[in-house]
Amino acid sequence: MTKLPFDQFEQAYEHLAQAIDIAGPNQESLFLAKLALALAHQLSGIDQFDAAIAMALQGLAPAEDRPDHLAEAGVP
Amino acid sequence: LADIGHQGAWQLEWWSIYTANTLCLDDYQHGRVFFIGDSAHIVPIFGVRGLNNGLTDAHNIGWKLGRVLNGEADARLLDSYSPERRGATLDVFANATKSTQFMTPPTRGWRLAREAALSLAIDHEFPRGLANPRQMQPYTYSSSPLSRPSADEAAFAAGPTCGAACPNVKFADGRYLLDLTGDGYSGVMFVDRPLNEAETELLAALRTRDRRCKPILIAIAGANVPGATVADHDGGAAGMLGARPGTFYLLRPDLHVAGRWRTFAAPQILEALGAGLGAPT
Repeated sequence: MTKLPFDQFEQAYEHLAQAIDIAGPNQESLFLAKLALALAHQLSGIDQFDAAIAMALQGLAPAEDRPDHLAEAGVP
Repeated sequence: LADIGHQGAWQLEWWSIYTANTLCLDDYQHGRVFFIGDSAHIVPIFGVRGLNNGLTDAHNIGWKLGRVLNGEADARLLDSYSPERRGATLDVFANATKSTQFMTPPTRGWRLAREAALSLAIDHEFPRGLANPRQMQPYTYSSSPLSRPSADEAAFAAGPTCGAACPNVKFADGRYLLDLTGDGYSGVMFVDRPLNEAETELLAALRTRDRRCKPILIAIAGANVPGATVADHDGGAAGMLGARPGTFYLLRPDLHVAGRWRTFAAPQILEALGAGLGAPT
């Protein structure tokens, strides 16, 4: 996978911050989920998306009301 | 009620708790008893083909029972009912699970992902397939004991594979391919010249094996073939079925493909018809 040059990655960071503010607290989850699906549509394979999901989940504390089906499926 | 403009008094008269179930029997045959429709499988109400599959079950066991009870097929033919129709049920289940999760998201995560997909779908095509109940495709009986993929199956660039429902083709004269079939097996052959001896013999042998078998000779575009059933003037049928002169499709009474041969192969065609009437494998 070709990596974005750092200066453009930095722009992505800035644009993301601005867009989260535009969406506002009530819609930021929806915005971020839409963004993820829009980016997924541009990928060439599911592995890249799954790796990004794993990277993004790393370091997050498990949700308190985590659905049981995740535990049953063996997701840590 | 306020949303629909009703402001007056109201009283609850009837309510129910609907539980979506996706269940089927391990085997749709128990000795001489065959299970069809809701006795064999129950599916959620969300656009899943519960009734349609019940009718297809009935159609599937119907022609097989008819042939066996009339002494026109071996009772082994009935053993193909359960694998074929249970396979169709499991296919529907897989799709139903997806449409149920979309229509009634089980968790917050599923709900947010759906809202994101629907929001994107307003202006873009790519997420719209997620809302497709995907229940419009007929099931392909590819692992049925009646389906015998031929050695040159891979040679086909187009057309229904072994076990798939045959698409209908409209000919230039306004007739449709599937209207030309009978109530038994049908032998669809593409020809660019009158039949030779081996081909004539095969059609007679098919007729001996299945007295209801109907030959359908399709004259390739540009060929003048006396005795052909229909002429494929615009090449539409040959294109849709990936056919050339000598290509042969054996269609089941339910219009699924029992076998197809890109080049004429008499022994294999006759063997496929035998298998399609319950002959031992």
